[in-house]
Amino acid sequence: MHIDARKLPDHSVIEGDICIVGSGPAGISIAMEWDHTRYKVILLEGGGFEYDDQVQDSYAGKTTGQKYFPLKSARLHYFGGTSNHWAGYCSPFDSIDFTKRDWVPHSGWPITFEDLDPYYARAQKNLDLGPYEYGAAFWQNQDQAMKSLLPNDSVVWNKIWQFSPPTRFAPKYKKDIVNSKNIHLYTYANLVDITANENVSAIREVTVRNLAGRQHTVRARHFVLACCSIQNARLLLAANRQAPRGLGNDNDLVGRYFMEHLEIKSAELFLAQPNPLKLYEMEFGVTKARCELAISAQMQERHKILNGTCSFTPLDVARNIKPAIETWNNEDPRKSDENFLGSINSAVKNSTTPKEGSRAYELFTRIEQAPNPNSRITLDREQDAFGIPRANLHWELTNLEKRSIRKIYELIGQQVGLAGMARVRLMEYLQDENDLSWPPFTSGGWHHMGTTRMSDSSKTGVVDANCKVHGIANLFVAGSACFATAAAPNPTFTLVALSLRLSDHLKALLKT
Amino acid sequence: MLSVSTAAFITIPFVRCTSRNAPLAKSLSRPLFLSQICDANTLREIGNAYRAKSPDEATENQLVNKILGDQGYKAHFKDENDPRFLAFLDEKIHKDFSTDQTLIIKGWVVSTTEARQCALASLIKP
Ligand SMILES: Cc1cc2nc3c(=O)[nH]c(=O)nc-3n(C[C@H](O)[C@H](O)[C@H](O)COP(=O)(O)OP(=O)(O)OC[C@H]3O[C@@H](n4cnc5c(N)ncnc54)[C@H](O)[C@@H]3O)c2cc1C
Repeated sequence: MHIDARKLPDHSVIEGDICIVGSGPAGISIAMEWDHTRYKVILLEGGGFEYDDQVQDSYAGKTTGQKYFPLKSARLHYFGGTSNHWAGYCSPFDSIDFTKRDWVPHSGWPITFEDLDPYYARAQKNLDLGPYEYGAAFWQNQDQAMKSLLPNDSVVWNKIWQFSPPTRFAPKYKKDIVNSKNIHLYTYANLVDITANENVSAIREVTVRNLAGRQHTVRARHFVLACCSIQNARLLLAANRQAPRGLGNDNDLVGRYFMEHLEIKSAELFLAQPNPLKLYEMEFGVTKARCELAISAQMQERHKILNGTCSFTPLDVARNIKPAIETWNNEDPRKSDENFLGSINSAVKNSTTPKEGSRAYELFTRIEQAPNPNSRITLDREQDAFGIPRANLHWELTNLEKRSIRKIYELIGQQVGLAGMARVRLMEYLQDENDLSWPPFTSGGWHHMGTTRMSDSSKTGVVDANCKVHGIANLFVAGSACFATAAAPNPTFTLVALSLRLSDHLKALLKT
Repeated sequence: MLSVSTAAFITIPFVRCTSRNAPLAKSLSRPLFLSQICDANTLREIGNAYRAKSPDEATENQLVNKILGDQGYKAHFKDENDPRFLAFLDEKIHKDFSTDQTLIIKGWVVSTTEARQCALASLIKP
């Protein structure tokens, strides 16, 4: 069922069993789990079915620290959320990503890979991925041309990525949701406030507002914030009428530990013979699965480095692609997207790589950043048109990221050398191990994570292992805000898996 | 990889390199794999940087001795074009990569043997 909240009488009261705020991959994945059940699900979406610049403007905010994309264009504020722009890269986190690593400050989740494993399997369907197979051998068996560059997998290994079409949640799920009897989607229902009970131990209701000047109240037994990491933190911090530091923020953790993936060209690989590197090749819209080079858990531990992976692009193409931080520079997400894709498409179009493959490839890193309390979201003095203080981002990296990237390419260079396949040359900015600066082309991956991190203790995290805000009985966060560490893979596959797990938890709660 | 079956087990007395070893130094100055992907200038740049880092390996003799180690050469290889000699070098480079005997020089991740070969290249006039 769909209701446009602009058309409801002012000060309507909406009631249901669970209220999900946000209709991106996290919110829709949870909502769809409840279709055809006896529970009334309220799905609140701040925007409409199409892009609306007035609503989008509420995402605008200042950034400091490491240069970042304009906040206004880094997320999408309408039905389907940022899945309207995402690229579909999916791979599960590794077991090591969930563990406490003594060389990575603030690492460790209160859940393990095994806890998420069955939900990863289910998330494959939400994202229109292939079989739940992330071993390289499975894919190599189907295509003999997918040959490894490595001598073995003890130091560097081949980690599979699968590619979603990419699933746009709006066209995929709109009809089902609009036709659903028990999922009540409210568009133009922008959450602006959260009201708790007297001792702030449970949420009583939330307030939604739209630019048509209507304000409504939503009551439910359980509330799920699924507005993505920056918004989730912002909304909790802004809900400071009853809890002066914001909800769930008694220990000053909400908004902290903002994490991105560093996405940065790092090295070049030279082969003695031309090679299409089929195992590592990615053709957008065609490739179903391919590998990136990853570093084994033992080597991460031995060298005390972060988890990161490396992908390949023929050098003649890569040299003509402008860095994302340069092309994704417009406040309007549609224009940024166009600039960004324009640069890639023209480089691919003008490629001179022969059919038999290239002899030279650019090696591109995606790496977790170490959780860092100073990398954070705070509230600005200025408010958006809904009356919510704007979000500011201070993105801060540590020296560990740079040291890790350098070591990763040293290890990759050693392994392809050992295999007698190739040699690797690190880029200038990695050559001096004492140089801790970042080059101007340092980019993120539009992956916002960690602002309401998961931990068993309220002293070290905002949500518990079930994504429930510590100290508040019926308030949950869905999405990558809950990640305690960022791992190397793009976040959506994991955040959908985590959302499905949260949904099961909520079902169990409602049964009791 | 070239076959190294014979090269692996020969231990040969140390051979001091003299100017009479110039052809040897020259042939050692061509790292087989690197030469396929780098031009002569790049090899020399790597070599110069290596020598700057390793002042006790500044002369041809020192470098040749370091590369050959306690593996002699003349007693067992016909000349520097002997395929077993190439196999010996190939094996040495392979071993460097498997035992962490690698360096990052001018950004290149190279085996120590390759770096020394480049250092020789940087000393020998083209
Ligand atoms: C260019 C680009 C490429 C990307 N590529 C990849 C990729 O290849 N792989 C990958 O894993 N990830 C990728 N991502 C990231 C991916 O898009 C996000 O991880 C994913 O969309 C997050 O899902 P979400 O549901 O948590 O948040 P979102 O998709 O951002 O959805 C949040 C929803 O909440 C709504 N909302 C916000 N505030 C309010 C409010 N106050 N009241 C009501 N509703 C509200 C929004 O309108 C939106 O619908 C990419 C992102 C970008 C920008």
